[in-house]
Amino acid sequence: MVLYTALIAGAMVMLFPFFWMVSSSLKTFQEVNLSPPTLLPTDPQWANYAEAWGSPPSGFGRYFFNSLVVAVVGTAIQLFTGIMAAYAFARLKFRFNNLLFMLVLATMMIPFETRIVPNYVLIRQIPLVGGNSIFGEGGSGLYDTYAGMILPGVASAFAVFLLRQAFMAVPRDYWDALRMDGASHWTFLWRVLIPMTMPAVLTVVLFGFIGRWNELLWPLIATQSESIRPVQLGLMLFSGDEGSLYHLLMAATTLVAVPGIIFFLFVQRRFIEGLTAFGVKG
Amino acid sequence: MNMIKKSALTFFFLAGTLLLTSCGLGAATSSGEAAVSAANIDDIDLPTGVEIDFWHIQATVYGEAITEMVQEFNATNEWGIVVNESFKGSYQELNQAVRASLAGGGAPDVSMAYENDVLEYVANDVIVPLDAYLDSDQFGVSKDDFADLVDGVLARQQVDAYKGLTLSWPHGNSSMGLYYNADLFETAGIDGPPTSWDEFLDQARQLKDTTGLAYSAMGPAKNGIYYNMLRSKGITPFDAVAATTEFTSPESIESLELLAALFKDELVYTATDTEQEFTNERTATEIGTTARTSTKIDQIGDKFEWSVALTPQETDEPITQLFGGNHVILASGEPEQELAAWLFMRWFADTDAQSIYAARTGYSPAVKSALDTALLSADYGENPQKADAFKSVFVNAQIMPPTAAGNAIDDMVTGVLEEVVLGWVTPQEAAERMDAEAASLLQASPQN
Amino acid sequence: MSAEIIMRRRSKQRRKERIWLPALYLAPTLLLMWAFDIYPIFLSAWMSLWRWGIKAEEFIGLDNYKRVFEDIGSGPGGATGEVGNSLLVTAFYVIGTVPVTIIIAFVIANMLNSKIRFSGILRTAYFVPYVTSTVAAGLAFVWLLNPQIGVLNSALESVGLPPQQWLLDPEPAAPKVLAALGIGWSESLPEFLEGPSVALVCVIAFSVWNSLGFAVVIILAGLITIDPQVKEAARMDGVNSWQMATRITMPLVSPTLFLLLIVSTISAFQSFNEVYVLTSGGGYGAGAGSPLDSTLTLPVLIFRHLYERPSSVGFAAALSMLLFVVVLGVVLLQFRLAERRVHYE
Repeated sequence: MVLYTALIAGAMVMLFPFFWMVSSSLKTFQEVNLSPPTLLPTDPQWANYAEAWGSPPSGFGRYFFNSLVVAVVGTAIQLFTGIMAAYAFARLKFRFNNLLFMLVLATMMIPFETRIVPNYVLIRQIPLVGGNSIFGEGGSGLYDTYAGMILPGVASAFAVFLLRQAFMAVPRDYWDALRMDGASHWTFLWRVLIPMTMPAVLTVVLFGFIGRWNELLWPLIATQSESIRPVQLGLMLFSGDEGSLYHLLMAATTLVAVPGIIFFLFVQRRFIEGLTAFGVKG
Repeated sequence: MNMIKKSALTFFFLAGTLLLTSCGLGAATSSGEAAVSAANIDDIDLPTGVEIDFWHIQATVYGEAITEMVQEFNATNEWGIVVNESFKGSYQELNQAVRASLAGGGAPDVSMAYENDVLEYVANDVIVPLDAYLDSDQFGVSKDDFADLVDGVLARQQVDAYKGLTLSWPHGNSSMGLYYNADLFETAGIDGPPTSWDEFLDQARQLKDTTGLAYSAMGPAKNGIYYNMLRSKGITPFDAVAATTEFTSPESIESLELLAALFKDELVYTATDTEQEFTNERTATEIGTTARTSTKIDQIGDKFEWSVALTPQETDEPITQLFGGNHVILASGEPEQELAAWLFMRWFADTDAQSIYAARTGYSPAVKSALDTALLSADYGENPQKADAFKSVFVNAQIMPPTAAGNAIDDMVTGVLEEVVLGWVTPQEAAERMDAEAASLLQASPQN
Repeated sequence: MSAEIIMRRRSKQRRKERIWLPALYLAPTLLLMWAFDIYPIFLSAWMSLWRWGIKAEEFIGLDNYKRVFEDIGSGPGGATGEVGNSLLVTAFYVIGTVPVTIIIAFVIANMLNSKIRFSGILRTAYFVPYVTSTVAAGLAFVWLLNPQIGVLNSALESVGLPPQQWLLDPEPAAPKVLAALGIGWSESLPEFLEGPSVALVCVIAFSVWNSLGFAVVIILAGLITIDPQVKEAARMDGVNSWQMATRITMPLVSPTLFLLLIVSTISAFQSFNEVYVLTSGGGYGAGAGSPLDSTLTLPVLIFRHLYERPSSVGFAAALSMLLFVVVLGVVLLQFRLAERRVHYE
């Protein structure tokens, strides 16, 4: 009971800003700027949601589609490359294992700003796309395309690390047993290891998806056309240097948070199923 | 065998690095061609349908106004020029995008820029000077049109540091004004906005005594207000060319003492969002950008009577801070492209476009003639505060002389002023420290 | 078949296993990382040897690094300069966020993992901050911490304590708290012992809140792979809940905890958004890192030099390398000290 009360109290603290966001999204421009603020909107403005949704020239529907493309494709590639690399680091014996793993981790240790210019140059100079010659000149490369938005960041050190830890926690006996039957690494990885480490895989998918969904700076730099831009850039339209439209910003932000929450509900349900379905041993 | 394989791998990675490095650095070239003359420009035969890219930082109603203006230009311009506008986030984000594009290609034809960036662009030869366009018979700007520009707005396109060149053209600007709550003033028995800084302090005391409220709130960065105090006393805070400052002048000490007194007696306090303090009637005044006049109209509604005035002036030549950015042409090396960029910029700064911009947003128009348009005169008729912001504040606004060290000095002054209002240092100590640090920043600055 | 052939075949097999197989598995990741992450690190190192604005201006060798190290001890009045100050702020920030987040998350994740009703809803509640936009959350926090009308000051006043300036207060928090408890602070102690400013403590609290959902989910994912029978067996042996947490659960999720430690440490060193959202608000010119640079973490300082100082891209690159080396050092140390205690199988 004490535990329950503590958990609920904690949950209230955690949820407060979310509540604040939803409440603000239902206020008028005048009310959202009132201080001390009203806790609940005096007269809920559901129309804010329609206004926010239709506000950008292409509409938020288009932005959701764009973000979905980037997040789904980006996460899929991230998962695949991450699983492969994690398997090598966790299960294969080779020289420089630790050194290369440190190199992978090192990619997280440098501020994002330092990557912008080199990544931009690279994306524009990828050969044979976007009007580029074989030497990567003449056209715009992958600038202003989905691929250009997706590519940087599809190799994620976090995904590799998380999966490595999960793979390492699986006892060697499983591999030894399969090896006797002549199974290859490939079979072992996909048939045995992945099902056994489903919670970790799902975690990678969850954070990969949300990470891509929340991307802001890179898509801004890598795109020009309004119609290809993702949701986070749509949100920027409500706050500028000369002031913000907080009521619309909060309405749009709430809408943008929904897919992440639904995704989590799905994943956390699978967490529990995963437990019973695979009878995982630690 | 193993060794060879290993070194082959190493070689591959190293080669990759070098290749990419050379790409990244080699691309950072510019078309630093000889300056074109007005005659050359008149000779350009502009084909129909030239497309140009325009990057800006405007969101909310400002962004919508720009979209509207660009559509209008695309539909009506006689050369069939097509402008593709792109919102590039906050000012820093625009800056990141422009730098990346200068290194990797795809730079916009027209971009927003502040004077500090213009100085950096011109040092790197990536910007097109506008003088030849201005002088052009066919595409230039007439004497009347020049005279139509608000003084401070024109002056900032041709600052001393540009060495006689015109490097940018107006976007639409705002200025620093003093908002006041007329109802609270009446309650406290204050006749109108203060005309001197002494009166500012007196009114603050009077308001506290009669209503118990604070007179004003100031943001965490108080440098702009301090500069305004100095300039209103006829002093320019620092001289970039001579690398000297006026921070230790009697006028400066006076201003620092005023700030210290205001905070010590809690007549003024620091707040993150000073507009909120003002519109919610916790302070009687706010010193802030006139761009917020339009949002204040919506926020305040009919809660109280208010308007905007100049901050106190102590000389015969009123002056206040001018804010906002300008437009520049980034060199593409293609005369048609650059001419189309200029024609769009010229149109943007002219009567029709500026009247749309000023009517839809809180910016003041760059040209006086915009006030004569039906659109803007109707808007100013409905929103008298916006008219006040233009007529009594904006026309007196001038930017601070730009210098490469500007941001560093601003941050340093902000820090020292914070220590003054916290009572950590005396005005005298603060003045001496600002003077010493600014002088060394000015000397170390690369472009002076 | 001679022994030699068998040997050769075996060595061929071995080479395949030891070189080509790992290379194949690692290639996609390493190639992509090389292009988009690692090469920029080298480029940064290269740029740090130049005075660099929009493009390379002048090769100046190690001058940027000289400036970094000279600056560390060159502030006004003998205090540290802006680099030294931001190193200290970053250290406070990392120490203030990482252990607290992990400990709280571990406790919460354990509670959420026990068989309780509505666990799905509760889990979601703890995860929601992670999907709530940082900007929206920042606004809510700024309001809570508003000195004039914020809830926190109302709460303080209702119990008879003086209101605080919170995010606007550059003074160190620890001496204030001690003074409130009636304990004096000796002025003779070194300044850094006074700890983070009140404003930085607020930023730290916000960061903990913001990253808790992430940490809870990561730990949960580790916890649910623990075989319930292990715990059951331990319970039969009369193990109490403290021993259960420290002796049974902790070792079993140690790979996860270790991961969390490393990842949180790295991302705490990169903290930019949290500082930016809470401290750069309000009008023109108010830079992130206020008040008085007391929340100016190293990434924020790098940002400042990249975009708000002329020809400082090279200097910013040198600062990035400094950050890189510091983080790498700390992470290597953590691997040294902690990975030994991780039970992988």
